[in-house]
Amino acid sequence: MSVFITSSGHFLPGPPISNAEMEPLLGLVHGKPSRLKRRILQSNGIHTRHYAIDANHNTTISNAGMAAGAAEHCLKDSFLGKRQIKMLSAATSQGDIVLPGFGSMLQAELGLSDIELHSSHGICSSSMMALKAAFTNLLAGEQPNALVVASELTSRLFKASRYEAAGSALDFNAEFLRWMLSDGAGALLLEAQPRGRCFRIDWLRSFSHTDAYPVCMSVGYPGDNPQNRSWQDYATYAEAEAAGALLIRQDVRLLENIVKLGVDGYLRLISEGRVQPAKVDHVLCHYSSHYFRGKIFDMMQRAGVGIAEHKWYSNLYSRGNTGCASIFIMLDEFRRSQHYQNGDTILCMVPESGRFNNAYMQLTVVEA
Amino acid sequence: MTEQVLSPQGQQCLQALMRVWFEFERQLGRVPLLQRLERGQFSKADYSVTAELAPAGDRRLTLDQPLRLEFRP
Repeated sequence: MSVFITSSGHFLPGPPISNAEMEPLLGLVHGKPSRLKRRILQSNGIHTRHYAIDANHNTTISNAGMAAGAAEHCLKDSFLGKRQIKMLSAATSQGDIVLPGFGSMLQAELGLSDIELHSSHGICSSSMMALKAAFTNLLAGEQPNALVVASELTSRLFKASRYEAAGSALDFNAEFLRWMLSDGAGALLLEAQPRGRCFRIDWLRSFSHTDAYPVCMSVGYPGDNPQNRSWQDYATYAEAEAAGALLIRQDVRLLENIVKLGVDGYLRLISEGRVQPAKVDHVLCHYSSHYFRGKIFDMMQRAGVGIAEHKWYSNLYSRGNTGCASIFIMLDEFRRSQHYQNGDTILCMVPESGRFNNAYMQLTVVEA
Repeated sequence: MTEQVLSPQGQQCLQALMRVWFEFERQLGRVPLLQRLERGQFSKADYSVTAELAPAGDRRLTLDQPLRLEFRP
């Protein structure tokens, strides 16, 4: 039994937003331009991205709406209609509402009937976890197909008013992701049979290290938090917001760990015989920033397990860092725009900094 | 790392050593005392020798969870 990615799709809201257009759209915090923006944008290398909010901070499309857009795009190019879909596996870091699960909201948005449902919650690697749930479900013979969708609408967290509500001081960790993350959705259709030229999933593995590392990216903790107090521990949500517990934060001091942990998982897979670096034809790595691409590439190269630079593909620079949706948006654009041949091996990597969960997947190009 | 190891044996050794080092760092990250230091939760109680000593007069400093290193060449 094998599982194949037979179609893919994406949804990116609104027009591409340039670096110069970002701050006018997200707003000046306390009326002042950011002093960090230029430095962070230089480091991450992103030139354009998309937002599902406008300059008046109205939401132009919901997270579930974007996810549905990507799913529709995926199905439009597929051999299946909505009525034939048997499973929906959905991922996001933050749905439009806290409960119920994102998958439930997406199913209703798409109008899918009588499906098996799975919601995966996390940060960048949650899409790979959603994909794994669908992959193993098909492998077990439980379902003949599954639609896997990942979507992010983080820009709502980056409105100037959010930071202003959290007080006067804007710390680096709270501002960092404002210049890193943006919105979008990606979708993959999995089937237990190949159709046309498609990608066979050879394996999908992840290694999580939360027992050994503190939280690196979060929503729900205030900046200074020795008591481990979460946003739900405050008397009111207003108090939590005033304490900065509703801001999205990245502990930049811990972020470098992503490089060695990403390479560690890669070395494990090599020692298990799953990855043979010389046989990898394409690398799709969801690095959050161009800065980390160089670090990961360099460490792999020095360890003697590097993969030639021309084999690396990413659309981070034009589509932005869309969290868990990135790897699907990347794979979709790769599938549509890049040159590959039957038998080619594609290695996908998603090193997540949330609390360090690294996911890897190998695909082989096949033709039915 | 400033030099690149070129021989296959040297590269295999380097890869194994990298994994040992990464695992060692993770083992350190699992030590409660070090976790409290790292997370700004280190308190006066952590200075108490008795809190970190083994019972029955064993005066060796012990940690809540022992460090274990495995080397798989």
